[in-house]
This record gives sequence, structure tokens and C-alpha cells, in this order.
Amino acid sequence: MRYHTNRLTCCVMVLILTAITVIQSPATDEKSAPYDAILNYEYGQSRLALSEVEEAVRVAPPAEALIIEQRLIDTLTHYQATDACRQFVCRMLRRNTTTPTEPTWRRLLFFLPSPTPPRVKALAHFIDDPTLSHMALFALQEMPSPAVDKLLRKTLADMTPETEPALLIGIIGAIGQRGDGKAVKLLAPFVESENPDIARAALQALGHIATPKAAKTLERFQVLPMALNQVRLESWLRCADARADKGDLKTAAAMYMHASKDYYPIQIQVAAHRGLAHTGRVDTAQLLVDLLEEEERDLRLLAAKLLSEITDDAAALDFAARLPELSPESQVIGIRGLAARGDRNASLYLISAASSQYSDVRVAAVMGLAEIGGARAVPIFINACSKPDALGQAARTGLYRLSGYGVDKALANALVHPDAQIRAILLDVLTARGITDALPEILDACGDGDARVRETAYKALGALAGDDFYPAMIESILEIPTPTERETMQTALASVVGRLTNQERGLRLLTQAIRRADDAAKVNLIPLLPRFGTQAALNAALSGLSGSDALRTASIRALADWPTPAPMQTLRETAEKETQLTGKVLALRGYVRMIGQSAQNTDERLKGYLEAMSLAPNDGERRGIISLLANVPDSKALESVKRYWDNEALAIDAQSASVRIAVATAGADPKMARDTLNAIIAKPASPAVKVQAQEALNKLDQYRNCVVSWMMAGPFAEDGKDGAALFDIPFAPETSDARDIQWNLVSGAGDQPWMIDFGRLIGGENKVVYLQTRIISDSVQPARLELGSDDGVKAWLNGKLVHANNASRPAELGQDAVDVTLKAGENTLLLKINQGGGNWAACARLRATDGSALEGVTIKP
Amino acid sequence: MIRLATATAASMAAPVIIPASARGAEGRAAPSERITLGFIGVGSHGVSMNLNSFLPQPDAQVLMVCDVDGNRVKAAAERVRSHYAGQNASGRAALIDMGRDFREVITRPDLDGVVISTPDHWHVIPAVLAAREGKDVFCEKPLSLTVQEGRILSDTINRYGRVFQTASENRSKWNFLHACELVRNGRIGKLHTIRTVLPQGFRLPIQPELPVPEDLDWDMWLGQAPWRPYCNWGMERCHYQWRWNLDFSGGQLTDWGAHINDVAQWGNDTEYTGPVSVEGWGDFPPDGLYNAAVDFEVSYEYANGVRLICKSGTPGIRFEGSAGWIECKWDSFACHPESLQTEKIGPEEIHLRTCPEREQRDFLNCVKSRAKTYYPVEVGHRSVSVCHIGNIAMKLGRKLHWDPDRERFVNDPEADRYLSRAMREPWTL
Repeated sequence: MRYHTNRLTCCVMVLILTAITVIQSPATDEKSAPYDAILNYEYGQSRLALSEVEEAVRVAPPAEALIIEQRLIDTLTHYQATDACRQFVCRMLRRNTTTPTEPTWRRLLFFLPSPTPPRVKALAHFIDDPTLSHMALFALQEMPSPAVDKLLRKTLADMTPETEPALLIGIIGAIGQRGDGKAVKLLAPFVESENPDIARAALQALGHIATPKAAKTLERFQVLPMALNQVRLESWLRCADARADKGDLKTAAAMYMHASKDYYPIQIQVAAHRGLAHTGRVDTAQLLVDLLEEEERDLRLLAAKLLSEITDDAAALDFAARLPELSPESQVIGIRGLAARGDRNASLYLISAASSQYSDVRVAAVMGLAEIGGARAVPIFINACSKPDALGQAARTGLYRLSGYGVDKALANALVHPDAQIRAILLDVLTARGITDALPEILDACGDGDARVRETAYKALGALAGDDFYPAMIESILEIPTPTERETMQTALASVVGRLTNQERGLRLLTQAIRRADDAAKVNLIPLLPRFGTQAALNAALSGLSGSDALRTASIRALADWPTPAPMQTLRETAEKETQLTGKVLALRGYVRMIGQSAQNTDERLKGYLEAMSLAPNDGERRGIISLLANVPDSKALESVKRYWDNEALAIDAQSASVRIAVATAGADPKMARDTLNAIIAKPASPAVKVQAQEALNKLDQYRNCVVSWMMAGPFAEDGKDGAALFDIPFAPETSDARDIQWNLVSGAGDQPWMIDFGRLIGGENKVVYLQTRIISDSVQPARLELGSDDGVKAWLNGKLVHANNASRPAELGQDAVDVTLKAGENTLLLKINQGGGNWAACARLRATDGSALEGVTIKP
Repeated sequence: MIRLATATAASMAAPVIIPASARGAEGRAAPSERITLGFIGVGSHGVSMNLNSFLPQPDAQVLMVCDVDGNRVKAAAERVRSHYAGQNASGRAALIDMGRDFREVITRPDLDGVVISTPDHWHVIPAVLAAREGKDVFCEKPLSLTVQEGRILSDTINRYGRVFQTASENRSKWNFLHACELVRNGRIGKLHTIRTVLPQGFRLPIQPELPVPEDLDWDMWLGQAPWRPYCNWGMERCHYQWRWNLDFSGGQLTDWGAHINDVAQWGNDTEYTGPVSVEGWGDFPPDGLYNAAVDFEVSYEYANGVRLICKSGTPGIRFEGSAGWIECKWDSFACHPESLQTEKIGPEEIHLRTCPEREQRDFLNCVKSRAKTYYPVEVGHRSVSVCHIGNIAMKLGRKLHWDPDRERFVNDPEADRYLSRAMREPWTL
């Protein structure tokens, strides 16, 4: 902070003011206490007292505004007030508004001068204080009172050569921002200041005032250093803008013309020409041509900018007609400007430019036509799009952007072009543009003599076709002779099936085609059956099992891809009996996938995986099943994977899976988990597994009695309901009809395996999700259920609501606790967790009622 | 105030004009060849987002970096040197000039454009002065500290015919583009509500006054803002976290509003205007170093009847119309009906300006073509104006009526006072 000699003067004035204020002030009351509290405020101290005053200013009714203003003034001028306090008060005075006590009608009737508001009087004492001048101006600059203008002018007039330059600049800047026309005469001498910063501020202020008088003053200073002359010209242009805004275009044009002289800086010439063009008082087309013929590139580039801005369409077209007169570089600039303008009437001139002898002009014209060309430009794009050069690139890009009535039809009609490369490009373009009207022509292209065109046509059908063209595609695949092309059509059909509105008809046509098809075509048709997923489709797929090897493999693949577990048993049997390795592996993988889909709990899942393991034909498949067993928190799963610890090919996977199962079951059976991890550490299959086991062992105690694996259902939502409202809306898992719900196994991860992060698993806002697990208790016993949630949580034990907290908080273990009684045998714990926004998570732990470890329970979902 | 570059090594002396031969061009590089750039502000965002994005562009060359923090200048210069060092064969110079005062950058005759990545209160002044020197400008969002500053910036850029890019990636992201094109083409019926969510703000206890670090020009860093002593702002020195103090920024409402509320303006086809009323509440911390709203909700009405509701939470935007809705998070797109996911916009329909290669590439393209960038100055000014008047309404605690043509409140001189601020001397516009 700067300190200066005139600070002493200021302080003396403040003391005098304070003395007067103290004498005049009403007795200190309760409401003035907050103001007293801020007198000694310093940076680095609590702002609470300041905030109290700010709130008082904010909520004060108009009737109290004058009282508040006086309190602020008293504080500002108090002899004990610190600079930081005064800075704050200036901010408040900027905000506080009061109305004059003298009615306007009375002042006008009796020719009374405008009163000087008390705040202006008070702030006037700081306006030339180097420390507080800025904040005084902060308060004054936007204050709508003639007294402020008067004060600023007087202060400026009183400034001496010894005045701190920064002070002068601040006051001159404020005068400029207020646009005080009466200050022009006062400002003029400062233009000639020896300090260039002061001169610059004065010139800028004249530009902000922008009256004719200000312009005249600026005109006087023709001889200035180059940098200052640039500021003068900027202000001159502001004055011209002001004339134009007021409708005096003739004067404005003359002023712009003056600044456009070629001996002025180029950026001033650019601004002046732009202003001139916008007055409409020049031949705009000629101006554009003239600009493009300038040596200075910035002036040539201005022409492009002007073309995109001017509203005179006729002038733009006049200019377009004169394009050939210009140099190639200027033509390119002009074409870009015309394209940016977006006037389709200029497209004829660009079509002409597209056959220019200059390659840069041709490329620019094609790029411009992409914006404004329309249907009549289509032949240009088609002829150029197969070229390997820049023109071809521009044409290919342009084909996607080209707009206008009839463009799509013209592109579709062009599919008969003799050049196969062009036909293929056009098919891609029609696809990207989504032109479904072109489907008849695209279908015709499926019979094209060129293989690349045919393949592109199949893909186009896949992207665009629906019910109408599906039958033709089905028939077409029966005729396609090569496997590669049939596969492409198969992929296209798969996409179309997803869009069919009449699924029943779609399946009927497909099954009829399968019956008529030879084995080669059947191989490409049967894989479409899972897309329908019905019993009729399943029957059709099963019928293929009795065919040739290729057909049988296609059928197994279709069954393995089935969207529901319906063919699960067939797949298991096939995996057991199939002699071909490919078929066996496909069947096994499908079967394993369906175990995950159908299992309602870990017991069913475990049983399925163990059976699948017995069917696995090689270590590769066993590895896959081991990775699935790793997600089953059960001692039998652990025993199963332990068998492979000694299998050299599977040992690492088996031990890694064992670590995960040990962690997941640690809450229920810590001894088994600990023994498993110690055994791995003693004889690890790899160093990484050893580290993994050691880290898990270190954290084992934290898992005690925690639920780390759950079955999850959801998310569930309802239109128009936020997360809080969903808390009390019952969804299927809460109702008796809970059997049809899809439950998925989920576990925690990382450092907090008990924390289920739904943000990672599901994400989103305004939803709920359910978690369910089973607690097997050796006996009837009391327990404490500890819950954590983000947002809220409801808990049911054996169907009875035991806890509800519609909270909004970050989840932590043990946030809520409720005492419950476990029955002997299986208990079902169900949680509901809602989500408004942000993070979404939950966790649970069972403890004895005294907080110690709970014995005699096993937890498994 | 002009200072010479800190001369601790030969290459750090005052600006060096790189020989034309080293730049592969005669004199000033022609925009059609290589665009020469100077960087003003090379902090975390200036380097990680902007310098790192411009350096690999084949038609751009960085000639100077400048920052009021000496540490940052040196680190950025080293980044440029190391990038260009291996490319001398292609004619690029590994020379880079360093400066501490932005005026050293904008007055260089050999620069085509400047990249401004300074704190918010230091956007408009260098951008305006650069435009007056004939430079094209790439400037970080939010563009301005006040509505009036933004108006001056937009007028100046247009007066001098400069190319200007407001730095935001949103208009290059497929999800926001797709959403806005669907809305603008009536795919969700008549648009009636837009909900934007911006992140929550932050709190930090008052920090003790500290000596100004030797290589930091604190007075220059403060610039036009009210004077205050130096302290630690919660991260590295005074950097980054200044945005939670209203002397330097508008908090999350402007910081993220310049992204998400801009998308609202884009989808609502109000890019060149603004709402007609605004009201809201904000939780402004009564104590601590940060004083911008932490939690907030601001509601706007537009002349076309659309309501914009902007609040704090998980960032995103949701357009609601008579026939569906679209919701975008930073990288996601959700909608109803579901078919909107793959809906195509026909060639006859409204296609919005974008550049999948992002804002830096778009800027360079436009420097050559002189076309408007995808987030031009007037649009950037209008977007942040929406946020500024939101902050004013929250501070005043009442409904305000806004005249987007005049850019003033309707018969409300008290609110008008917040549309500009006196700059601390010697800074003026």
C-alpha cells in the first residue's frame, strides 16, 4: 500500500469530520453496534462483523436507507477507522441507495440547486487519498448524481503538477466512464501531459464521452507520439460510432474516412473501413474490391469479415460478379466471405469459380458451395469427390454438409454414376446424411457389379432400413454368393431387426427364409434369431442343431447369444455331449453366462459354476470360470478354486480369485479368510499375488461383520420425482411380488470393500436401488445393525421395516445404528438407498449390541 | 509499469525477433502459413490446456510466454523449448521469449495472435489492448468481470475486425452439440424449461497476510481489483483459487456458467441476447477468504417464454420440451424418447457451428478464414452476462428485470450499479 504526503492532510480532515460527526450523532444504539465493531477491521481478520453490516444494508427497507447511509458515513469518517474498514464501507456506499430529501418539484419551483448527497460529500474527502482513492471512485463511479460529476471535475481542476499520476488517471478514467460532456475542456490539457499514461487516460476519456465537442478536441491534437496518436484515433472512432448510433451517418462517414488514411496504423485503417462500410454511404461492392486490392493483408482480410457482416445483399452480389477481376488470393478471401455470408444467390458465382484455372480458387469455391451451393452444385461435388488432391478432399467433406432443396434427391439419382468409386462415396454420404428416401436406389446398388459398392450398399441398408426394406434384405441374403458379403448383410440385418416395429412379421419372414435357404445362407440367417428372442425363434434355432457341422455351430452360437436363459439346459447338454471343440466351447460359455442371468442367490450361482467347471474342456475355459467364482463369496467357491493352486497354468488366477473370495467372506468367517491368505503368502504363485494377499490380510480386521457382497436390484425411478420423494415410493423389491426382479451380485472394492458405490455401478440422479443379503444365525440372538448411506436408507429385516432415514450426507460406516433380533437360521436383510444428486453409496455391518464382534453368523447374498 | 523480461540468461533478455529464416517465412508469418502466438498467463490452465494444445498444431508457433509469476514463466518457456527443440529440421525455432508484463506481448509486431489464460479480472484489459494492436485473441472464459467490461470487449473486437475465440470445449463436444441441434430443430417439441447444474463453490478460512514471494508481481496480479495484502489462497500461491472471491471472479456461477449456461443459451437460440428477468438465492460465506456463493439457485425467464433454472450440484444440463427431454453431463447424453440418441439432423435443418478438434484448432482456422469462431466474443459476453446478472440478483435478494438490448436493468438504478466497477488506477479502458 502506498503512503504519500497528502495523506496527512486527509487524516486531519477526517479527524475534523469525525469530531463533527461525534457531536451530531445520535447516541450509540443497538443498531449501530455492528458498525462500531468493524472500525478496527484489518485484512486477515474474520469477516463476520463485515457480513453483519452487509446484511443490514441488504435488508434495510427504503425508509431506513438514510439512517444506514449515515451510519456508513460515520464509520467511513471515524478517526479510528482502518483503511481496510474504509475500503469495505466504500463497497457498501456503492450499494446503498437513498432518495433526495428535497422533492424534485420543490427544487424546480424555487430554482434550488441540486443538493449534494451526504455520501458524495463524505467520499470527496478520500478521492485524492492515494490509499483510498480507488475505493472512493468504486463507490462514486456509478452513482447517478450530478454532484458526482461536479466533484470529479472540481477534483481534476484542483490537481497540481505534483499530484500523483495514478490519482489523476483514476479520476480521469472515472470521468470518462461517466461520459461527462462538461469535462471535455478540463480534460484537454492532460492530453499534452508529459506523462504518457495520463495523456492516454485523457484521450480514452474523450473517446468515452464521444460528443461532437470531444471529437473536436481530439482533432486538435494532430501531432502526438505514435502510440498516443493511436489512442487518439481509437477515441476518434468511438466519436464516429456515437454519431452513427445517433443517425448522423454523414458525419460518421466523414470521420471514418478521415481515419482510413493509409498513413495511419493499419489496425486503425481496418477499423475505419469497417465503420465506413456500415454507414452505407459508400459503394460497398467497390469498397470490397478496393480492400482486396490493398497491399496490406489485414485490409484484404477485412473484406471477408465485412462480407459476413453487411446487410446489403445487392452489394454483396455486385461484388461476387466482380470476383474474376481479382487476384487468385483475393478471390479466395472473397469466396470465403461470401460463403460465411450464407446467401445462396451468390452460389452461381461460386459455381463459376469452381472451374477457375487456379487450384486454390477451385478448392475455396467447392468449400464455399458446401455452405451455399444447393442442388445445382451437386454435379461439381460428384465430379471432384474421387480426386486424391485437396479439391477431392474438399468435395468429399462438402458432400456431407451440402444443403438445400433437392440435394438429397440429386445425390440418390447420382448412384447410377459410371465410376464405381464415386458410387461407393455417394452411398457413404447418403448413409451419413440419413436419407431414407434413397433406400430404393440403395437396394438397387446391392446388385451393383462392383463388390465394394455392394458392401457399402449393405451397410447403408443396415443404417437406414426398417420394416419396408427388411423383406427385400432377407431375400437378398439368399442370393448373395460369397460368405464375406453375406456376413456384411447379416450384420446389416441385425441392425434392422432392432428397429422393426412389427417383430412378429419379421420373425415369420426370417423363419420362412431359413426353411428355403441352403445351408450356406442358413449360417447367416440363424444368428439373427436371438434378436427376436421368442419361443418360436428358439424353436427355429434348435432345429439347426440337427444339421451339418457348420449349421450346428451357427445354431449353438445363436443359442449362446440368447437374450434370456431359455436355452440354458440345451446349452449345458450340448457342452457335455458336443464332440466339436468350437461348438462345445460356445455352448459352455453361453451356459455360464446364463447362470449369471438366472441365479437368484449365490448358492444357485455356485452350483452352476461348479457344474460348468466339470464340463470345461481345457484350462482356458476353466480360467474363465475361476474368474467368475472369484465373485462368489462362499466357502465352497473358495474350496473349488483352491484345487487349482497346484495347476501351473491356473495357479495365479486361482490364488487371485481366492484372495477376492477370502476378502468377501471375511466378515462372516474371518478364520477361513485368514488361513487362506496366509497359505497364499507362504506359497504364492506369483509376487503380485503375494502382495495382493498380504494387503488383504492387513485389512482383514476391518471387514469383521461387514456385509461386503450383496444382491442388487434397480435402479428404479419415477418421472417428476426427485431422490427424496422416491424414498417413500414402494418399488417391486418392497412388495410381495418380488420374484420377477433381476438381482445382480455386487461387491465393494478398493480400500473400503464394505462400501457399495452406486455412482460407479449405476450413476445418475433421482433414483433408488435395493440391496439384499442373507444372514444365517446359529441361534436367536440380539444384534446391532449399523448402516451408512448417501443419500438416505431404509432397512427391512425379514420383511419388517426396522429403520428409515431420508438423509442427505456422505456415507460412512456406522452412521445409523438400530438394535434387531436375528432368528435362528436364515434372515433376509433388505436395504433401499435413494439418490438425489452427487455421490451415491451404502454400507452395513452387524455387531453385538455392545459393539463387540458378533459371533455365530454367516452373511452371504 | 512496463518491465523488461527478467534477464537471468541470454535467451531471457528483452524480446528477440526471430529471424525469418528460422520461422520458415519472410518477416511476419503469413496467416496462411504459420500463425505466431504470444501467451499471456501460463499457469496450470494456460499450459495444460492451451499451450499443450497449440504447440502440436502444425500451423502455429509460440514466440513468447508471459506471466506475473516468474516460476511459471520459466516452466512454460522450458515446455516450449523442449517441444520445439526436436523440430528444428522443420524450420521451427527453439527460441522462446519470456516476459512479466503482458504489454510486452501485445506490442510485438511479429505476433498474429495472443492467448490469454489469466485470472478472470485480467481477461478484458489485455484482450482489448491486444485487439487495438491488431492481434487476434484467444481468451479464457468467463470473458469478463462485469457486464460493462464485456460490452467494451465485444465492441472493440468487432471495431478492429479481429478474430476472437472464447475458450470453452463445450461447443466441440458431441453430446452438447447433439442436444442443442435437437432442441433447435424442435425434436423435443416446444422448449419450455432448461435446467443447468454447476458445481458447488468452496469455503476457506481467512488466511494470514504473507510477504509477497520475490518473483511474483503482486500489484500487477491484482491489476484493476481493489488492493489487498498478499496471502495464500489455498493452492499454489495466489493461483487458481482466486475464482472463489468476487473481487476477481463470480465464483462457480461464472466459472462453470460460462460452460453450461452457454450451452443453455446455445440450445435456446438466445446466444446474442439474454433473459428478461432473474431472481435467485445464494449461500455467500459470511466469513473466510472466499466470498462467492457456495450453493445457489437462480431462475431466469426469457422473452420466448423459456425458463432457465441454474443451481449448484452435479454439473449438467437438461432441456425439457412439450415432446421430450434431453440431459447431458460432461460426457454423457440421455433423452426421452430414446430414439433421439441416434436422431439425425437433416441437411435442410439447423446445423450449429462446431469444431470437433476443439477450440484451439477452430481459432487457428478462423485466423486464416476470418470467419466467426464457434464461441465468438459477443456470444461469450452474452453467456457470462447471464451469470453476472444472476450474481447481482442473488446479492440484492430480489427479482430483477433485465433489458438485454440495452444491457441495463429495467428502472433499477441500484442494480445497474453492479454492471461496472471503477478500475484501480492506473488501469482504464
